[in-house]
Amino acid sequence: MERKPLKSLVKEVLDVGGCLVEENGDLLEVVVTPEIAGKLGLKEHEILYFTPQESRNGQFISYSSDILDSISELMEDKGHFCKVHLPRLYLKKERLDQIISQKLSLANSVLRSSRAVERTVSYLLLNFKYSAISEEKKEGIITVVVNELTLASPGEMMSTLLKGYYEGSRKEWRVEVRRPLEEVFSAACKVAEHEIRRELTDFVRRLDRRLNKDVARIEGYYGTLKEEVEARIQKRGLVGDDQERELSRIRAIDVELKRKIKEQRDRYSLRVNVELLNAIRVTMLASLVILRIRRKNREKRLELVWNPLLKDLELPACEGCFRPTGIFYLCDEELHHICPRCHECPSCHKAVCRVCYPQACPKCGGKFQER
Amino acid sequence: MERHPEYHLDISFSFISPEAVLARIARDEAGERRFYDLRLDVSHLSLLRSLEELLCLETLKGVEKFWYQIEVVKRVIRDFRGRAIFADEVGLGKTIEAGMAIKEYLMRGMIRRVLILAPPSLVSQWQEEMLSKFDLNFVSTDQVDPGKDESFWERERLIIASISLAKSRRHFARVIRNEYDLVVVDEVHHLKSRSTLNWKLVNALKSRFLFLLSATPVQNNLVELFNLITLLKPGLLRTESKFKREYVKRGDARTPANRDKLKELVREVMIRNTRSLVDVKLPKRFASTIIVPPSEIEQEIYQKLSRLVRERYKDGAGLSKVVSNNLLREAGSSPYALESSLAKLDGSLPSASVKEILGLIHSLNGTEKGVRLLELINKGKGKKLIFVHYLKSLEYLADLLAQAGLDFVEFRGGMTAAQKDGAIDSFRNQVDILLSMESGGEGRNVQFCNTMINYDLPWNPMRIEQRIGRIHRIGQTRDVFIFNFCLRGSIEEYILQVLDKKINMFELVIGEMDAILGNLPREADFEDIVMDIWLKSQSEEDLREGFNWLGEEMLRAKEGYEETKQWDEVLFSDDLGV
Ligand SMILES: [Zn+2]
Ligand SMILES: [Zn+2]
Ligand SMILES: [Zn+2]
Repeated sequence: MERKPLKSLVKEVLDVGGCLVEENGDLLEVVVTPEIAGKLGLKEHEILYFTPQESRNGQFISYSSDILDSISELMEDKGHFCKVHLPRLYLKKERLDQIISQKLSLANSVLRSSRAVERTVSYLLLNFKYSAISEEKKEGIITVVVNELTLASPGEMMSTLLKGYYEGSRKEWRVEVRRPLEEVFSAACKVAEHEIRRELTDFVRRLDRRLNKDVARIEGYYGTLKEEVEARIQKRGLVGDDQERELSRIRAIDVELKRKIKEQRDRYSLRVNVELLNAIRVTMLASLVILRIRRKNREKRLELVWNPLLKDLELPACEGCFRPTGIFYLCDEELHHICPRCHECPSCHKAVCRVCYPQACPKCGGKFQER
Repeated sequence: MERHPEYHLDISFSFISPEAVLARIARDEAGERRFYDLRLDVSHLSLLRSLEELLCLETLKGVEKFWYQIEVVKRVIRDFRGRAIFADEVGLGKTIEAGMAIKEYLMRGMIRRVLILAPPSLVSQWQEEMLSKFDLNFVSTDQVDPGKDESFWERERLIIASISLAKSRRHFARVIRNEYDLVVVDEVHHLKSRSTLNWKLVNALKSRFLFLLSATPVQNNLVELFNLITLLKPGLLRTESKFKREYVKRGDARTPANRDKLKELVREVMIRNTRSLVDVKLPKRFASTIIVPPSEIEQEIYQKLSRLVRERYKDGAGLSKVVSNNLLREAGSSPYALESSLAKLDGSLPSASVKEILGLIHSLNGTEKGVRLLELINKGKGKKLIFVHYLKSLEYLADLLAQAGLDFVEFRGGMTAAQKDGAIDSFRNQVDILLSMESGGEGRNVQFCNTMINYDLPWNPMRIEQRIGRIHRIGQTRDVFIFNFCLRGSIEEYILQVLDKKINMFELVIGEMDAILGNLPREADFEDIVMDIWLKSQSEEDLREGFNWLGEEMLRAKEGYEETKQWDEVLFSDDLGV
């Protein structure tokens, strides 16, 4: 189980890249063009083997081999994007009010009406690879789903998708309406960021702990240095210029302390690089549920999808953070539908729409941090 | 304990969205599913890499990797998180360990900007090793003068700098203005006290990772240890006065008071392997000096040249130090090496004297050193590596060996990498003699050979050590034999008096020579001192006196080093290894 996937993967990629590959028991015999040979650091005729203890002629390939970094280049632009069309599934169109009232809680508005229509809907599944680098490094791959019509992110549908319907049907659904790709993609990036932050929780906690430990040690160090100077002033009963000289030493220690603390923070700061690897577009027939919601004499139209894979209503995406939210507010300014967190200033706790005011709170002036 | 405000990491995200992917999605231009799956699977492969396997191992060239070196790199990255003192005993390969860790961090994408600070005498060696063994193209302050190149410190990503240059008033501020991901400081015992510019420079550098290298991290007192650790982890040993109170015996700056607790703390930042600990035994070295009496003509050539150089150097009008030095070294190598540059210099020297010397060289029929070399070769079987510095000398020896019907290969500058590999291969498999110039051989393994002949002798002991290092290093299993040729009465004879007789240089371990030279009171190079003595001496008496003095200085430097070494051995014993 451990070894085979690597060998067959390498074989497949070399195949795709136009190399001549022959499987020979445990080995792969490869003939490549000079150009590819240069790219991969192989000879034009090379034997690849996958079991470390054998000392044969050829190249040993393991999970830590260099070649795995360059090998995906052989695929050029293949595998960046594909599509799946799901067969027609059962669609719920009746008695949706009950589900709506179960799933949604309208915090400052009322539901006026709802109706359902059949609609072709497409989803983008995007695979992102992240590498989080501080004094340690953590990598991972996450997948994010975005409904291209509503920007909802029904992550749960992935497990169902992978179970069986994934192979799809031959019939291609025509999708009439879809948000512009930029909107879909930027929603996906926001969702990805949350997802990655969640995966990094323990990693970050560990680094946080070390940062605080280091800072505490440094504060202790400089604190003691200061005490030592103060004790000297006391003991020698220094006054005037002599005292002033020692006091300026204390000020210098403070400056150095600030610098050292900043240095620690820089040292631990975490940079997360996220790269889009590839994407798949899933198209299916679904029930589009159109809600009319009212807030202080103004009305908002909100579209949600009843997803036949989930057999459930998708939670709407908050317009601030794009996370799915059951409880939502409509803002006074533009009727944005936002989750409780995007509806409150973290400093003064007053109601503020983070979509209308992305930078700072209009009430207390507090700056909003990236979350 | 006082409560501190809690700090949180600064986290920043950056998204890379390849146009190739986005454009396809936008155009709804789908490809095959199996390719999609394959790309995803290949991406998952890289996640299977753990730290347990070092990525760099496969990429190293001509480096023998030892288990303890691999272990050091893993511990530095995993346990020390890139801030550590590498304090292996001399000869165990600290540079290799540091190089492996640099390569590993680079391959894992964890660092981009690296600054290596080394003593001036080691800058070019670092550069050469990083290139030949790790395929890392560092730019050094030996190649580029950052004083003339305004954007040097900002622009270059991989820098090897002389620490003396970096700390100079002219560069200090510019060096510390940049942020580095990794700073490596070699021979950190030079940092010593916190009032030195060396220490202040390293303390002011902004870098996530920091490697401090030294086989003898502390030399005079325990506070030096405090100072080094304070660079890595300020506060670990508290303040200096608290440190002294707690860990240093009253009235004795070299004896720890609380040995076990101190060691416990030091263990958090320092790794030190000893040969006994990792069970690496270096074979012995045996050196013999072959003093060859010159023929009458040879003697005349050497004396005439010597006199000429002394006169012309003294009156200030004729020769620079560099040219004088080179002429004398050529004369020590072979008359043929001297011949070509002497001919070129005609004009800045009295042409009558030049003609006279050239005439003498033309009247030569072979050399005495050549005769003795053939005798030596014919005496014993086995592989022999003959080092020679000058191309003309090499060509002369090639003729000599060919005429004697001896099979040999040449290794010289100007050969392509493939030619060089070929030469080493046939030396390994077919031919018993390799005739080699020094340059470009660093990364190539010739440890299958255990006999080395210095047909000529570099004046700089570090260069001699580099030659020896080609065959005498960990991995060599047999005793090593070194033969040094010199003409009686030549500078080389005096140098060998000092290096061989006085301080037994040829029995030292690689790396120790530098430590000894670092103990010389004057900042001047050994080579410069030799040159000064030679130029200022009027008689043989003067020469003997001058070199006696140098010998005594070297002996004192060696004793100082040995004392330090022993102290460090006692201080750290064998408890800080991997
Ligand atoms: Zn929100
Ligand atoms: Zn506020
Ligand atoms: Zn709003």
